[in-house]
Amino acid sequence: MNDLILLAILLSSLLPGLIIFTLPEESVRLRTTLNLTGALLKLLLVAVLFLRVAQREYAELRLPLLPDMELVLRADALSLLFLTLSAFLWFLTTIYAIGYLEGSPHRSRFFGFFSLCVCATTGIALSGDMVTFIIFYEALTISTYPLIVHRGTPAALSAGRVYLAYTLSGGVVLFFATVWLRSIAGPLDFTSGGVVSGLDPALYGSLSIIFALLILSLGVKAALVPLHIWLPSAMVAPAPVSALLHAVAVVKAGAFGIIRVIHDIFGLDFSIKLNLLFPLALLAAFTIIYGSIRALSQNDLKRRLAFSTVSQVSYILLGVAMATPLATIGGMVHLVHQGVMKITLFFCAGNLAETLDIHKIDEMDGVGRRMPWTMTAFTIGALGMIGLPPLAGFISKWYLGLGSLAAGQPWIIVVLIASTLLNAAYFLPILHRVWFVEPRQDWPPSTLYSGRETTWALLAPPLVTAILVILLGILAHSVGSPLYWVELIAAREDGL
Amino acid sequence: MSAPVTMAILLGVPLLPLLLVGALAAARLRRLALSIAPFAALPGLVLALLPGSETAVAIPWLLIGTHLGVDDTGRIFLLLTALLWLAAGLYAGGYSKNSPQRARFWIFFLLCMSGNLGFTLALDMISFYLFFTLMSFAAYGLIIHDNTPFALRAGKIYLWLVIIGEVLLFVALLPAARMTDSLLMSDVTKALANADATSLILGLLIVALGIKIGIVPLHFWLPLAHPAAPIPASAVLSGAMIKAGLLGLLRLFPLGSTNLPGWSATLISLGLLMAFFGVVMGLLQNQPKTLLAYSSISQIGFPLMAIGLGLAAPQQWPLLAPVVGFYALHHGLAKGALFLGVGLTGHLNTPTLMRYVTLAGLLLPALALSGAPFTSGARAKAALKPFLELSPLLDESLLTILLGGAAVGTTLLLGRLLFLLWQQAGDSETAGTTGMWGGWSLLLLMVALVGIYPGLLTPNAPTAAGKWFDALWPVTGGALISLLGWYSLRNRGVNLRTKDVDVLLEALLRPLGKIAAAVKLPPAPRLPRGARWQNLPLLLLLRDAEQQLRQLRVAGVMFILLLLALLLL
Amino acid sequence: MTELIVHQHWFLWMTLLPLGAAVATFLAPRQARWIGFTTALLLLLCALLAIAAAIISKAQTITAGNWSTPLGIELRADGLALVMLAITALVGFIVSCYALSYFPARGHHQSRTHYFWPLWLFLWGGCNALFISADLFNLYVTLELVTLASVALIALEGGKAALAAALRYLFIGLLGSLAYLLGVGILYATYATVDIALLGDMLSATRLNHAAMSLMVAGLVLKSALFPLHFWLPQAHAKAPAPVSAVLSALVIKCAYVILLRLWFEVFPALETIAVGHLLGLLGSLAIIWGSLMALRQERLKLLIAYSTVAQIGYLFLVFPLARSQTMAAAWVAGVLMMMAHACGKAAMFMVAGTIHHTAGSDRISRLAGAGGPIGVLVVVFTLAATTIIGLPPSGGFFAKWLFINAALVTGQWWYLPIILSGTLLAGAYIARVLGWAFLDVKRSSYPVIPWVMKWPPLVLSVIALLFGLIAFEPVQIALIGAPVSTGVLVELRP
Repeated sequence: MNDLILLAILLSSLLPGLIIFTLPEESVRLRTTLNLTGALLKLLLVAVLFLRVAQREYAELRLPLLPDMELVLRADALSLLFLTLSAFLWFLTTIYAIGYLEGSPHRSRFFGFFSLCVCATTGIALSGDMVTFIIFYEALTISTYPLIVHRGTPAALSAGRVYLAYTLSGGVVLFFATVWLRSIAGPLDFTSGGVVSGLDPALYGSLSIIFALLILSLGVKAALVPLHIWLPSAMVAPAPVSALLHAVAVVKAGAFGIIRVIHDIFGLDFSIKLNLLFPLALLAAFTIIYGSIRALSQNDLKRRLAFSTVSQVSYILLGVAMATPLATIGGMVHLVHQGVMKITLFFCAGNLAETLDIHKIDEMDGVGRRMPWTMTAFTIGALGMIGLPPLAGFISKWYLGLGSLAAGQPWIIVVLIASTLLNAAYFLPILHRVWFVEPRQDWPPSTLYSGRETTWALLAPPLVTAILVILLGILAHSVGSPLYWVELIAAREDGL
Repeated sequence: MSAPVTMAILLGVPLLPLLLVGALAAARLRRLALSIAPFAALPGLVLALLPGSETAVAIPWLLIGTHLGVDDTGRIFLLLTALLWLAAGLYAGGYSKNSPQRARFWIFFLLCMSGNLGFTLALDMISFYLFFTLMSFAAYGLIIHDNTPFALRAGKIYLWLVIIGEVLLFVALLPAARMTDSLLMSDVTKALANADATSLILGLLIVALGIKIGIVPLHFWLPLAHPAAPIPASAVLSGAMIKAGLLGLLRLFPLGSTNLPGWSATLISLGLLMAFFGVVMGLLQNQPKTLLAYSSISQIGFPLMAIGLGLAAPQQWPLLAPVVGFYALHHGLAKGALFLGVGLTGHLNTPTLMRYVTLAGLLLPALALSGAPFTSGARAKAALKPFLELSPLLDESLLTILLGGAAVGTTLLLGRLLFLLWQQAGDSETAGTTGMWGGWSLLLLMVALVGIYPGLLTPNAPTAAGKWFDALWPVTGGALISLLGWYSLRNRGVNLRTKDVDVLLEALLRPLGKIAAAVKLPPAPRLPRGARWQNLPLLLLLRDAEQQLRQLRVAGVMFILLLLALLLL
Repeated sequence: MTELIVHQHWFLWMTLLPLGAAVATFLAPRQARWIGFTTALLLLLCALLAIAAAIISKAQTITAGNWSTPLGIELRADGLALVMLAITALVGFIVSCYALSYFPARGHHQSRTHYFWPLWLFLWGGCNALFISADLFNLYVTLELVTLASVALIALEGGKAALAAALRYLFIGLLGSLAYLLGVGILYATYATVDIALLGDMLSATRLNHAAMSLMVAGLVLKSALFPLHFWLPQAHAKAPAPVSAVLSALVIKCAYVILLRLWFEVFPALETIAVGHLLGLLGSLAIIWGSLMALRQERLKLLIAYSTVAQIGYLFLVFPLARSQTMAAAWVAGVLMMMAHACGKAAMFMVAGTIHHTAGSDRISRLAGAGGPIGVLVVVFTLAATTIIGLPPSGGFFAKWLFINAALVTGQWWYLPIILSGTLLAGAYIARVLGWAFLDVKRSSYPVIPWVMKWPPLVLSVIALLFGLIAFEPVQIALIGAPVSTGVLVELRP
């Protein structure tokens, strides 16, 4: 009965959240303690589960919902990939958020929903069938909204409205498509190889439609063009939220869902048989280019990062859509790599905003001298995004490239090149500005933070993630690295 | 040596500079790091001079499987690189003493050094690519160090070429890695020998690495970057980093395994073109460093030609390879010495006597480059001569004459250099330090050494010394012409200036930029706000209808209607 | 012990207890609050025990009171009755807690307090009686009780508007009951019985029976405020005091609907009712769209919630067209699930609105601006309750919609799909409007003090509403005890 660990993992962020809601604003210490304990406990449990799954002991938990409908929690290798990422980055983000929101109003509300959001993400990672997935997916939609509108400014509210409009519509379509699929295919447990391959060929037409609906509805969160509008506008949220949105929770949930649908509901072979994947590859490729081009013309730092997310997340989808082992590995590993790199960038952007009140790129002249450590982290993240060795981004790109050759679709290499060039074109000018342009002098002096460039809570997380970006690249082939794990998934689940 | 030790040493060579970078970042260790930094290249030198043949080690957990090692090709390049970085480091120690951005300069200097040293050790594609990248990007920081508009423009152009080079290299390596399931470059070259995509890959490689080497017409960043960079930086840029491109060709081209006459002809003609193009363009310059940059372009043409010859005759390659290496070594050392010398005579406030001594000292590398008898240059040329008959392009005699002509040109070029240096004294207040003189004289010493006892530094150096008067005539000829030129021009100051491809390129790109700016992407579609929904005409209509429904009689009618409908159904 | 539990007729107690308590509170108005509260507590207990009994003794339908049919009182607790009793007990208990401080013991509104408790217990008793009565005439009587009690409760607020609303409600109540009674009369004239089970067996598809059916359906439709006969509902629910509106839209409407459900599935299955089903489905669809659109542009919270009730009723009526031979169970369960989920959610929402009205003096949505502190709790309650209204997982509404869509797909009535989905989106839109105000950042000088019974009990209810989907298994199982449907709940489409 040790599968209750799955439940424990969910509760480890749910309970603190619920308790925090009831706390008064003043009790900072208790709230912080709760947050950190929850995060640490979760990390611990995830680590335990990780080891179990590494030895092929998959945990599973089933609760009846309706007659012949169940809530299925299952931990397989793929879910562990996402779970570990979210658990670890959540821990850092919590520390960061505590430092970031110091002294701002509504913190109980914020951290409450923050925890719920992570609980939902965990649930998505652990969900073992489509029903469970939808439950947590929608829970994520709702619990994220308060975080986006947290500032309560009209801008934030309209951003929240856009977010809800897109995600709810997406959710409704997802809901409908799933019911449809359920009503023709029966129970939708995530099983490698898919559950629909055995169906009567008469249904292939509607299966294709369902596939398209599923991908599009999940594509809303995964910010596939033209469903990405909500993402750049959601950058009005506080930095920790953007970090969560872009790196850990929402966008990733979409991408993860698409991976699940392709691998565990429809199954690679079946999707290839109905050649459903090529359109997705095209769409992803277009998104990659489009996002990068839009990023070029943004002057607001977070907006530029947001568009870069739009483009980067599609690397994952592109990799999955190519449906060759190497490409799949590249895509899945990018799920982790992009998360770590992008969260670094957002942490740094947050530090600039919080410490020096810098939001625009043309205000960043020479900021490298005022905040060297933050900017070093930023540089590492940016170079990783461009995909320079030995950083994490390069590994993903290398495998994607190899995969595209293996798939016999060399045009994808052209897309990768274009994206690399565009990435360079919108990141390197920032780096030049930061390091080589003479700084403005009217910044608050670092003496405010006792000689440090900013508070520890703000500085430590980006440094950790930046170091991680380097390690993920340098130690890519060592045991336990994401690449290693993803190769394990590919070998184990898809039999690739 | 046992494997762990080898691994430690091989990793230590590129790692030491990186560690120093880390130390520089920490305020507490900065002073210490600064004092060590100039000597950061020493381990490399030691490794290069270490007796014992090929050492190689596989590090599977690093990246996606790394192989580092020293083979005969790598050893000579490692030697050259380490020497140059050491000398440059010594020079930079004095140079950076009172520069405002001292730490920044050293950080990029060390990063670049690490990349360059590691590059010579890399045996697999990934680390090869990694160090190549590290070197290239770090050099940007050195080039724009002075922050002058000229430097910024040079840096921008350089950076774009670097990125394009990176991408093309990436694209070239991908299919290579796909063909052979190993990442070892030695395997790749074997596979390249007989693959269908060979010519594509080779083409990509030539462009990607050609940017580094300065193959015409991709050369135009050199005359911009070398003058822009601080003296020690430009010394390594044109001494060591150009050679990195060369090493790349040696590592990845299917040399000695297959006969590719087409590519051979291409490389030979490119080499010749560069040899003369560099000379001509160089003669038109009046900035010593720009002139030297062009001379580098012309000089690097010869080893390129040698590689071309090697492609034509695989069986000869084992004999030819050392020549290429030696050529690289000789040119790198000489060019480094010249650059540092330019710094000492042209940029610093050096006492007059010392200037003349320095100028005299500069004669040595100058003569070496132009291939005067008993210098390393003469040896290199002599070593190359016997292979000329392999050329599929032109016959031997013609090539010989061409080479002679190039030598004359080189002599002229360097004559002009000395002439320029003679004219302009340093304007700055700062005097040279012992470190600077040390670095310079180290290189001078090495140039001399390579000329006299080539075997001392590299075990497999060509020993064939050609007839001395073969080497003599171009030098004397060139010297005479340049003396005449100097005599005829001594009264009116010459001011030749010229433009290169970059200007043309910018002229081409400007309208593109205008177009790009003109094209405005459509703004993202906005959703109607919630507040506005209430006043949509439809809703207003509904509100009125609702008012109607509220009235009892309407409701009654509705009820009756419903009842009737139910009854009739 | 288990013997004791099983062989008690809890549902009898649950009918008699509130009626008795009503009388008691009427006689002793001073102790009204405590009597009322205790009764509520006891009722909740009874409900739990009844459920326990049902679970333990895999109970078939329990019948009681063997007075001589046809005119005797025939009582019967099948699954549907049990779950309705239980949900009534739950909502009723929470509402009673809330009412404790909404109608304070002393203060200038004392009379309201004195009248509220008897009426409310009376209503409660009426509902329970209705759920368990097994013949059409009892249903009529109990329905009348409920109607009268509700009319009085609506009028409780006092004031012209409230009185007008109450009268209007009385009017439609009478009209509806009249139509219903007519139908019962016709059936009794033909078959000389009003017992549901007997009628169900005897009934044949004659024109007369059809007429009877039409009359009864029409009356019940009017009482359950299906579009376009919803005209009375918004006023009535908005004008009544918060606990009353909660009860009205959580329970009272369901009474009429439960009768309809019983008629449709137990009395008239023999009739050719597909066309009628389509008509009801059409009206239901219109109700969904219409109600949601109206809710979208309301300025007052209570009105918004009332209109969302109109929309939700629309969903309930989709059961009738969707219940075909193979999707019978699916549609029926969907309807029951929807009723339960909506009861919890809507009651919680109305209590929130009431609290805001209570503290801020008005229930304008704009009063939510800058909601923080205690108001923040209200917003949380509202949000959680809203999930079931929108139909987001894991609420009951979500699974109800799941079953509806499933049934629509299987029976090939695809035109209901856009209705259901757009209804979801519209609900999301009007809920989002409220939340938008709540999160708008406005500096407040001070936050009102909210007594805890007005905060936490609604929170409990809203949490139940949110998690109902996860705990729905047992309730559905119980509801299926002695249910008139027997097919599988989740149906699969076969090409």
